Amino acid sequence: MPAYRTSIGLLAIHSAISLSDAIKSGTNGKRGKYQDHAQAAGELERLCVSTKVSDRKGITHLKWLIGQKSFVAYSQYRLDDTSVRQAVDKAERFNAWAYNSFKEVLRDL
Amino acid sequence: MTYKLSLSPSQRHSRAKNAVAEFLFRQLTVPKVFIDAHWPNQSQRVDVMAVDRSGAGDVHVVEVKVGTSDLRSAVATIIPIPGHFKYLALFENDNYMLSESSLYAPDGMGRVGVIQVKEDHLGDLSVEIRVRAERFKFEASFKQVDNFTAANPPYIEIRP
Repeated sequence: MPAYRTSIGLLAIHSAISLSDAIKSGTNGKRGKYQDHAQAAGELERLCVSTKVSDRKGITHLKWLIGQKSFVAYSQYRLDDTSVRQAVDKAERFNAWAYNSFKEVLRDL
Repeated sequence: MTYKLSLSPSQRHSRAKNAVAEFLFRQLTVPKVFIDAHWPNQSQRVDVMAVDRSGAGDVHVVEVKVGTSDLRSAVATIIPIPGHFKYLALFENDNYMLSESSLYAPDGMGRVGVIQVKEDHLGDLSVEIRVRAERFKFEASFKQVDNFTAANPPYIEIRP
């Protein structure tokens, strides 16, 4: 199982980025145009402002996940169990926040 | 393992509900899981209910039966409850017949899933699907689901 840790971590990160894209696409019909995924959190934060979503906890989780992306994807070291669990936990929390905060948007997709 | 013999019927029923709640929590995507949910109204009660995607997704409802009982009436109880997926969960029941035609919705749109809860020699519970549930037509509105999830604290959920 240790051999799969990096894949699990990357899936957690990319699932959050994809969900963030889905929210943006569902809200304003536009996909994120950024080359750098770090911009995804900024775009989502601006969307929260424009749609009057006051709870921003999910943005914190997304920023954390994006912050780990380079290390998880390119590091020569394998992730340990704690790091993988943390990535999955953050992704699940981001999911829960997203479905609570953008329920109508995500339901219609 | 004498402690098992001293459990009351209601305790055994609660153990099975707990196991099913954990099972749905692991199977679904960040669901909100409720026990003894008054759904769709105060006069009705569902043993276990889960709303997928933190309340934005499909509704799963489960009737839990412990011991040998009338499964036809148990299925008849769960079929009218609004839900996208409906299940009968069995614990301490070895007489279940897989070809039970009453699992199907009268119009054919939907099949009640069957979940088997088992206890091993150490007293640990495990849960497996015996019959896969098929989607029912949803006889409620998402507004009702939203009102329910807003008014009732979940038994298990992922907190944002």
